[in-house]
Amino acid sequence: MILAVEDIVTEAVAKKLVTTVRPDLAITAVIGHRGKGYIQGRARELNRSAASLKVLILTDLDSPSTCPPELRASWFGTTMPHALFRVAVMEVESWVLADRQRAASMLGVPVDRIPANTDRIGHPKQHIVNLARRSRFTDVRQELVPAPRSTAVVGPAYNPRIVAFITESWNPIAGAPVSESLARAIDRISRW
Amino acid sequence: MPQLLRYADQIQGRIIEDDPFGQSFLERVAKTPEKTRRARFRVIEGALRIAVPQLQQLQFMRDEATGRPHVQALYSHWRPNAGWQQEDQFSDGTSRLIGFLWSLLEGDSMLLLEEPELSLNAGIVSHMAPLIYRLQKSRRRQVLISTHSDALLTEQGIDGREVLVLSPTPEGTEVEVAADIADVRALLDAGLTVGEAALPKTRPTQASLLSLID
Repeated sequence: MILAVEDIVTEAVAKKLVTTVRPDLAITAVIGHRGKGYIQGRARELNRSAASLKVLILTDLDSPSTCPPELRASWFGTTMPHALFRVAVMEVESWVLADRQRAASMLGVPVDRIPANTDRIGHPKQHIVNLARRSRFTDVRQELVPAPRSTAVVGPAYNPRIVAFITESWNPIAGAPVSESLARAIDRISRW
Repeated sequence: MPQLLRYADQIQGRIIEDDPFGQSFLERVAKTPEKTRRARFRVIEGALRIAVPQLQQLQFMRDEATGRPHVQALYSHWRPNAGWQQEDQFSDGTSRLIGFLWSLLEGDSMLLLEEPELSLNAGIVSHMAPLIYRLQKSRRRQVLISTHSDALLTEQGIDGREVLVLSPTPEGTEVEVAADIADVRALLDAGLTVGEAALPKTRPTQASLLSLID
């Protein structure tokens, strides 16, 4: 099967989902890594290739003004895509936070600082950065939080730290009760 | 420069002061106290095992006959014990990656890196910025990098205030902080990376005509 993803964080999440829920599926290629627009632009081609092989497309919803079915319709038209198309509400970071216990201990913050429904967080990536500001770990503050007045949205080593957490510790099953969009993704992948 | 390392014997080259091309790299490695060298090689080996297919071990050794220092790597191979290769057999990318990592681990003064992306797969280059950040963090050293690489700059943790855009003009090269250029700033504030927002500024305006010359 192949994965089509926005960036390395989405890739890490997609890989962990597949290896946890469907260890029988072998991931043979990962494409994308050029943001959401690239996968959207290639949605038709990806969907066509899904006629002969399994394709998992994972993207962020990003904006509360659309809903996942609308996004699917605008990318693929009225027909149901062959490819398995999953949308994280609002961003995959909400799925990462949904494993509240482990995310809190990685970030070094009390678990009650993570909302009980992470799909409701408006900007999950920003939320992680804001949690990291109050971390009791110096490393987390330095790596995840941008310098004051920085133009960067995240700190200088946000990606490697989040990706390492997803790969080594994050458990999507533990996050399912906390994020509905994650629970649906797990359900669809397990029945795929 | 991998070529100068690879053909060191044939070139027998004069080494320029401060060794900007890394010709005496192996001597520098050899002069490092063993404990420090081992510690640095452990880090470099860890990185190479991830970045270089089939590479399993990295070692420093001296040629028994000539006493010359060498770096050797063990690659997994279907023939047992067939996989040891020395620096003159490394690919450009492997040599550069070893030099790049050694330079980051060596010393704590300012480090200048000229196009560290050369010879490397974009998939490796896209992880360079956080890697450089993490390796210099404990030393708090200043690292100055020149690059044309979209992969290197398309990293969302790079602050637009840390990037200087160099534009050639008839009066000479203009240098501006990326975050101070109004349209770049607007794109950065909207969430684009420095690679997406600032790199197009450096593209030669007539570049599209290049393929039409005949």
